Amino acid sequence: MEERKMEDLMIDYVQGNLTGELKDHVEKTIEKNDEWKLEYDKLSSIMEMMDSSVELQAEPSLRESFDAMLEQEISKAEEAEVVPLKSKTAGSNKWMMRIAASVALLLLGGTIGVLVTKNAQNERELAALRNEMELTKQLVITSLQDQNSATSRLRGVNTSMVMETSDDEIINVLINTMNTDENTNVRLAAVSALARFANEEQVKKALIGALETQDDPVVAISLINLMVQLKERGAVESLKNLLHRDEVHEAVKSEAQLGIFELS
Amino acid sequence: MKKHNILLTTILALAVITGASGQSDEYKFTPTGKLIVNGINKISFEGHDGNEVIISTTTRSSSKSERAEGLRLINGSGLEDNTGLGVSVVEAGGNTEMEEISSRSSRRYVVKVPSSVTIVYKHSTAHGSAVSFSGIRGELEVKTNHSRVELDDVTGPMTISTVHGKIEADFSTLNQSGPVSIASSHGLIDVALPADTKANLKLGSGWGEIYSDFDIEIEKTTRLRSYSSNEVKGTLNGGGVDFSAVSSHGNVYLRKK
Repeated sequence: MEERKMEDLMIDYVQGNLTGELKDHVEKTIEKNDEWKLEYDKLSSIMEMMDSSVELQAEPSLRESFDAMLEQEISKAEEAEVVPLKSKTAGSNKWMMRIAASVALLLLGGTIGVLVTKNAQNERELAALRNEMELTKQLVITSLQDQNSATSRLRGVNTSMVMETSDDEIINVLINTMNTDENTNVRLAAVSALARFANEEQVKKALIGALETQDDPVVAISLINLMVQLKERGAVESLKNLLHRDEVHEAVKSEAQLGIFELS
Repeated sequence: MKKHNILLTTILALAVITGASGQSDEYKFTPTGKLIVNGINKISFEGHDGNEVIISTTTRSSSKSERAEGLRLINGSGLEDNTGLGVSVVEAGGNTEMEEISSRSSRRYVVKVPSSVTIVYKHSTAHGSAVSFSGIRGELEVKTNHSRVELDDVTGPMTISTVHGKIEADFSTLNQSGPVSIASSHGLIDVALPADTKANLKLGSGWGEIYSDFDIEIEKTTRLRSYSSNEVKGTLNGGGVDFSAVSSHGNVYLRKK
């Protein structure tokens, strides 16, 4: 019972309907109890997902089972209709009305039941999908924090490639990796991962910005070539700046020259 | 009996020769964490079954004259020769760091490494010529500026990068536990893999060509724009661990063996 109540409160809390003491109570519960924390995370991700414009088509199998259940309910209702008529003496309109009402109720109940089940199933599927995305994201982010193994971080960046839509959190993590990871190959993989979203303003800005700050020559050369392949004229200014810097690797300078030539 | 005598004399003679060439030119230790090697010009790494790292050098230090007798070689970064081989081996940040004391040295080192130890090799100056790895089973991280990188009987996981060097790698098998990434800006990349290797492949050459005799299941349709002008993405034998070999200016060769 307590749990049931807590769950309702939690839903209200996630939806932002709670104030004062109740709100404090829920917050404390989440803070103290790991299970409720998990529940809260689940609920909020479901809410978030419902708010977002993700639309899912019901699976055909779902539709089929819905139809089957509906038919079953109808036939059950028909049986229910037949039995009382035989056992009761005919003529009572009230009885007929009651039977009709109960049939209607039964049908309605059945339909609602099916709808509720379907809804719950949809929600579960949504949650599963969302969970998978979340899991991938978490996997990418945790792998990238593994300072002990370059190939583990590399795997993290590669994992991010399965996400076909850009995600702000992942983009930021990748930008950071491209600029600061201590391993050249991990940085290169981050450049490739970011290049997939190079038409997005934030990403393009970060890639161009990295031209002047990138301190790893192999990565810098790869970035310059990326600019050439994207025909990104906005990079020329940054490339010109590179030529006058003492600390820039000679190989990067000559690549910048090539880049300026190709882009001008 | 006579035969035995000859054998004994040979052994004695050898011992005398070894003795004459100096004290035992070998240093053994049990490493902590990764083995991080910074900037040794001439070095090769070999995997072995023991638990110790064994450093040996075949060339005598040229700077160790009679005048330096009883003194230790030191340098400005606070390193000192604590191995007697011209290199310093110290524990730092949970790892073991190995560095050469004299930047002008031309001694060649051989380092035997247990298979469980991750090797990190970095060389940033223009003085290096080649670094080689053979029979390595642990994780490998290599970063050079000019040195070419030779990998023989390796398995991955590994990350290899160089600005000017070429990279040659002969895999005995491809370890599926982690990715392989090989990158060069100006050098060619030449990789041989067993015919039955399972991998998710990415080969790329910005300004060069890509060659292979593998049947690569090429992934042709990507909804998202592929940024590189010359890039091959696909799978080998149904796919497996991520394997990438990309050079900005050099050719890329992938051989089936």
